[in-house]
Amino acid sequence: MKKFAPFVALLVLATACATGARSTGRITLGAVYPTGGGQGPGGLDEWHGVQLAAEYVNGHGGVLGRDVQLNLQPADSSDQAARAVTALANENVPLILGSYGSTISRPAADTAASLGKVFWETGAVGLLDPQVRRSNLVFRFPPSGGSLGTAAVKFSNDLLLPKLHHIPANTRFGVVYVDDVYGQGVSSGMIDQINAMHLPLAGVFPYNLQTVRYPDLVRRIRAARVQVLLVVAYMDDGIGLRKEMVKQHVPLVASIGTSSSYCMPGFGKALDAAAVGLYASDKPDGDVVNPARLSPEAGAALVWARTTFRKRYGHEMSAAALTGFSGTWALLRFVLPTAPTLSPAAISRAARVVNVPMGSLPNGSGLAFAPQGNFNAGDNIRAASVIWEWVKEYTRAVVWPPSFATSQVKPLPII
Amino acid sequence: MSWKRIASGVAIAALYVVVAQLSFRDGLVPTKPLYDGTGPPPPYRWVNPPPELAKTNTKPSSGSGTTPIGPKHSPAYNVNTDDAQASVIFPPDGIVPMPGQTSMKITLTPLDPATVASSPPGLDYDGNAYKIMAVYQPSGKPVDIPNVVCSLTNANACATVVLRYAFNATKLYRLDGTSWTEVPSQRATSALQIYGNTNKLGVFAAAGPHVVGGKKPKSQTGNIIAFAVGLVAILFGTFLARVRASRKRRAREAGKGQKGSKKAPPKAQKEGTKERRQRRKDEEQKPWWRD
Repeated sequence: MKKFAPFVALLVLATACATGARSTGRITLGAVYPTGGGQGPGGLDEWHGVQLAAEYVNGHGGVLGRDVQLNLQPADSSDQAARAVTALANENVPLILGSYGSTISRPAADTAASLGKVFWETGAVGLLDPQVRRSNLVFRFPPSGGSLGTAAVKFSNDLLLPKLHHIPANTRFGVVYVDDVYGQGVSSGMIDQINAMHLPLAGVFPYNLQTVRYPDLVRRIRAARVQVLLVVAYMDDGIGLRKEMVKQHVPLVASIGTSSSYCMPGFGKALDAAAVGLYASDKPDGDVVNPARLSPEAGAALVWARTTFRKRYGHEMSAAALTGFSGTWALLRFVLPTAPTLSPAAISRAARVVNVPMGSLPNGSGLAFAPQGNFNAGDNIRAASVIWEWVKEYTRAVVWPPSFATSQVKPLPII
Repeated sequence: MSWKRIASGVAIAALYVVVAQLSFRDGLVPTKPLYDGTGPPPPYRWVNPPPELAKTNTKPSSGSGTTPIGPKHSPAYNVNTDDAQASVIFPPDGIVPMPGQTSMKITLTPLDPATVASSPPGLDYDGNAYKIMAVYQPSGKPVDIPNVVCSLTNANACATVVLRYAFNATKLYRLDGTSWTEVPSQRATSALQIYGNTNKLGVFAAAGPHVVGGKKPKSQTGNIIAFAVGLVAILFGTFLARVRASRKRRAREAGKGQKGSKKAPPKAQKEGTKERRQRRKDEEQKPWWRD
């Protein structure tokens, strides 16, 4: 054994020399977001939030003294996601941030996990492959689609219907959703919650985004005598569906949508009075979170981000921008500094034990991931979500939960 | 054909161009899309998908349509594939009338571009190729398009070909014989489309820069050199230390010899088998780097 000792020592020394030669002191992370295509505007907003978080952390000493550099590979559609992730994996990044859209998130997460890289989702809420969840390499910072759907049903049952003098147990619920990973993710949360609360489910109406015919779809909803309509749609189809509902005078007690349409300013702009009285279950925007209700550190980060974002991009921080900023800040502030090395395995271990209370991040979230063995393994179980209401034409307000509310719930008649 | 029909055709074509340009972020009038956050584009449908997309691929659709034509004029007309991955748009009078022909039939057929021709130099195909054919009826002869010089701004007499791309197409090509001819084109990135005007029909394909697998991984040459230099330095240091130790030992032995009488050194006795074995054993036990 003594004979081999010097060889081992030499090898260790030489390897140390080589490693020292490679270290530049900078941490490079990958990013995959849509910057064009139908989801380009929202994807860019989220990416800008991510960039601001890196800039903020670098301006405050970096990650244990090391600056963070981001390397973006755009993916404007699901087709491009796998190639974008592969290109970043070839750059030897240990972690890839993404991806705004659920249809991009799923193949990006699949590819990252198969290549042994950590995938850190900052915005998308849709379904993830259960096998990918078991990899321990995929983490989702924002609320899952299922939890947004659950929140919509709970809000209806606990608060909205009683205010509207309707007994939830006697009210007929319907779920209409775009039949893809986003729609399936959110609607499953809605349907599970309706069943769990023993509420009457009048019908479920999936539709294909490319072939949907709104008159037919709305006729089916009307025939099912739905009173509370829960909607999971993108912008174009959400607007098309709503216009047809108005046209056919479908008598609804309430209607709640989710992210990607009902919560967006463009939705209210396109529908004007037809949007008033509708609700949306989604992530909070930058301008509705009260910094005073956050931890001092998170509040300071939010104030800086709002100011810088407005100055740089000419508008307020959208929900996408805020979740991009908060999700990246959470990673750089609470996960990477506790990872002993920057290998994907070490980052994954650090993420799995992170425990940050609610209100400690700029969007009001906390950070703790569901462990393996759960159906939602890798999802942030302390992700913040809110309920928006269109309180008048082109004006929306957060009405729930009370810690985020900027206005009280105003049960308004819908057209 | 009545002036009313011509006027309505021109109005439709003009409206299409205006709306398209206003909607396309990279259009002639740079602006935002009509509104933010439309739905995601559906996955591209491949004739021959790349390996990473083969599992979820759906076969692409073809498209066809027939429109009546007059003895002197033809109407504005367009045909899409059912999956909206390819379209061809004819302006009013976009085909040359032919006596006795009452209609034209247009077909769009997806093809694997690799089976058609080699990709344009330095570029990769981005999506399927599409064979776009139009024939007079009842004769079945290929239609003639007015022989005008087509450019991006001259859509009046040229056919407009629109192809959806999958990744990042930057150019549109038409197959002339066995080689590709570039068609002046413009991208509509919000729709992931590329479109251009042409005075010939045939096979069209979009192409873009090579992106498969992304950039090459960083070279490890620096690390290998550093490793080698470190190893050589350590070996050289060890060698020097050994030489020095050897010299010291010899000097010490020489010093011992000088302290005694100046007798000639004793003649070396012949080493016996036993001694030789013991010496070898000692040498084996002693590490090589020690003297």
